[in-house]
Amino acid sequence: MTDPLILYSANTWLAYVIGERFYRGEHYVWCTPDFDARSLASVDQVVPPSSSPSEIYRGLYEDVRRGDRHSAKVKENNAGILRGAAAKRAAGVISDAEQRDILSILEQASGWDFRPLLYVIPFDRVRTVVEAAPVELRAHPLSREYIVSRLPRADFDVLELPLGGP
Amino acid sequence: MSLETLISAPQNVAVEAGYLAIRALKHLSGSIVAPDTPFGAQSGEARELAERIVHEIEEAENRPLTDLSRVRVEYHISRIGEIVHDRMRKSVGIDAKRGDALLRELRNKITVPA
Repeated sequence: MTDPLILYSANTWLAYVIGERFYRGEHYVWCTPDFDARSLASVDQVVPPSSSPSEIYRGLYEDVRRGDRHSAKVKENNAGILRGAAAKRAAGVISDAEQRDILSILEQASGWDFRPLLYVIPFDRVRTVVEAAPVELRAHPLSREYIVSRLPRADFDVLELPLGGP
Repeated sequence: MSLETLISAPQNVAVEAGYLAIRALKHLSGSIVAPDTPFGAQSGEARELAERIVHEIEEAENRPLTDLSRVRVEYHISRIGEIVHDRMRKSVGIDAKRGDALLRELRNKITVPA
């Protein structure tokens, strides 16, 4: 299979700004070349629509638009941010005070702070650092999913799709 | 379901185990695989704890993870997320005023291109 041209990843505004402010502009992302699984030919549709960046974006957007700060999707993202902060603290990237700052931000964040963003990542920019996601963690064993542990801001575009405000 | 093990585990083990268990729930995979090992020796401990959490959920639900309804999956994701957040809040601490000030700064200074 040839290398993809573009990788897509749906994340939250809060995860993005924490990466920018506390992790030297480096971001931990899961990504896939298949933005919307439903747009593929049926034989290639191995990713459940609910796991494609398109659907993750829309699902998260719907939850935060309704002001559902306690939705499972928001809690899942919250847990990912907490894990990231603990890992960065363990690695010495951030201090105890900075970890407390991140937790304080999460504590005070509104639902809208968890609104989704779409990262558009040219594959050529991450070719040497991208890793295939473990098969057992993919939405489907045959889906094309990758992890970039430290994605510099200069290597991707961020889009906020015009779906409307809260 | 008490998730007592998640409540009593060391902090980094709990936060990693919660993350891994949530991923297993999200994908209804029933298996725990760590994509990386950010907590050194504690990562293995976290993987074992995540497996126990999944097992505990399956026992409480009386069915394998792969057969859980979306509603029950979301319930367990929320519950695990709340426990991990509460653990971190208690051990790391929070400063609500500083959190508000930092959020204001981030909302004003870091913009996303339209």
